[in-house]
Amino acid sequence: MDADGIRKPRQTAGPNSHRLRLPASVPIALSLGLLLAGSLSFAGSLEDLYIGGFVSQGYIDTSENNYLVPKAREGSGEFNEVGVALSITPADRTRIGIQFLARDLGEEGNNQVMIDWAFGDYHWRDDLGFRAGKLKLPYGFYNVVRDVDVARPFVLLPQGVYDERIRDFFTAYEGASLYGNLHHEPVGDLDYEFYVGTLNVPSPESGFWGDIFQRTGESAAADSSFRADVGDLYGVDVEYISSGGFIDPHVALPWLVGGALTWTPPVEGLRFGGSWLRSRYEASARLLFNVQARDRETGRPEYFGFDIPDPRIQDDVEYIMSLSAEFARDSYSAALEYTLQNTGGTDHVGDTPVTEGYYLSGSYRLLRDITVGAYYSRYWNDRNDRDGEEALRNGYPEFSAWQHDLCISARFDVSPNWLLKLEEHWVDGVGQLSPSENQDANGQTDANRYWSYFAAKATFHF
Amino acid sequence: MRTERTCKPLERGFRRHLTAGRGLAALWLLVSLLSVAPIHQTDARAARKETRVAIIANPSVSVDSLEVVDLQRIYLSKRTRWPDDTRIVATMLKGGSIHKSFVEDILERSVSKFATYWKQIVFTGQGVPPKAFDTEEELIEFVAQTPGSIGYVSIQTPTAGVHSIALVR
Repeated sequence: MDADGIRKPRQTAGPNSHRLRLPASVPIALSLGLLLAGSLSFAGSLEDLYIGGFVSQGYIDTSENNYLVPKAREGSGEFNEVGVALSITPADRTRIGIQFLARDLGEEGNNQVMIDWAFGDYHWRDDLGFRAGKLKLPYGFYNVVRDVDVARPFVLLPQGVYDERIRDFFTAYEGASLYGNLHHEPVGDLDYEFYVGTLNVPSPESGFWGDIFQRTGESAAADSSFRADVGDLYGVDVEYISSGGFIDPHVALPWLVGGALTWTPPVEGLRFGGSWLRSRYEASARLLFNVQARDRETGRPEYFGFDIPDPRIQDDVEYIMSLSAEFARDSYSAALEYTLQNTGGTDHVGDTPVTEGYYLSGSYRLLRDITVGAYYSRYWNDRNDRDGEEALRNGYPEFSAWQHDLCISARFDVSPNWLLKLEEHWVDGVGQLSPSENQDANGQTDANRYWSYFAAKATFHF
Repeated sequence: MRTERTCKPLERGFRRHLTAGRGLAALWLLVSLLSVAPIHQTDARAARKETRVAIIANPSVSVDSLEVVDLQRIYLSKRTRWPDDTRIVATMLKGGSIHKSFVEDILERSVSKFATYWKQIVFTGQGVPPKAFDTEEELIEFVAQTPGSIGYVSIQTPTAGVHSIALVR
């Protein structure tokens, strides 16, 4: 910490004061509008204009630990999505499209209408096209279809590979891509996409990044050299420093490059894929602290607050990669995906932790309207600390090193436009939980190794 | 992306917590047991040998025959140009037995999987599905008038004004 940067707090505005928040009635009105549009058969192509949309409402109820939504232990309906996609073909080989999305998942989204993707597409040839704008980020087979409930039997994608906490900023980038499809008779199809761009983090004040800022402040407050710096700066003997949270958070990933390949061999229902990206993140926020101290000269007690204006946390995201295989034929489907993520930084002993995750999933369409599915997903914060020994040495429980999730689900296609999903998860470990959502009244962590959660979701799509 | 934890050790054991999910677990188990007897045999492969579908195109299309794999690639939007580089305008029926035959026999997919495929394309902005019609008559009329277009109808339906394309397996 740079003690020169320390100064008294000047600003009291909350982190959300500059942001547009829609009243709850707006998404509901939008939903009704979509339903109306659907029922009037407005959906579908209208000359060159194509419109599609979806509305969903979910429910999450966890045992033991809070996950994804605050107060999930009591059951929460803060889990909904509304999307409208429009596409138009202004000229041969060209297309312009946009999707508006409003979603809520606990602290994430909060039903603010955002542009999910919006881009121009020049499809010069089937084996070479160009897109520019806000584009879906290819990672694994299913990152680009996270919004598309109809595409899978599960409410939540396996968290070992598709971490829901970072979905808000990890689904789309702003930039440009080259893409195409190469077809050779004995080999099958090869789809490729290479891209450059930037990533925008829409709401860093809460959720994943909020936890990082909060934790950075708490770590500093507990650091003895930081305490000494503060004492020297103010001429006091510091007795106690506590973190007072943070304001003005900013997170940017100023550049990223990456690519994805999908090979579809001439075997019905089989495909393989891989993706890779490299990036850099820059995060900053004003960290607030409260100090209890004694004046070095007079010995009088002092209580004051101060803040550190701009402690930058920045590092290279060395790589985020995935490998995927899928087999889907007739009523059956199975998928296996694996990810390794080196997002930079060092742990307490100077190593760079590499996050690892994989899952195996399967589903079976039992009846025309009923599909059952299951997956087993595994996740480690650091692949070199699978048993949590290092976490334990640092004062954390060993089960904070991983999060493994067994899920079973049932999907009901109530009509061609309506679907309902129900699923139960049994979880070992708390590696992906939000610390701030799992504390007792005294700020002590209140997380249990074995826990479970139930998720349900109803979706209308056209 | 990775996050670290600030959890402190807790001695609390595994508390059982009843959620609605327990009921679901029982339901899932029951449904799985029932699945021992396969109930539906609507596999695409069951009726793949014979098809009741004829492929038609606008007279401007110079192609006389297509392999099944080419037709599949056209209807999955992986192939969008004819050999003379004109745009392929794919059409389809919104539903019914001819649509089902076409999707299952020729595209070798279930109708729902085909619909899901296009939902994914639409909601990720990668394309728009084939233009869909309620009746064969409407489809034939569109194909007759639209250069580069292709579609399918029952082999028993008269197809004046359009060009027939032979299917090569």
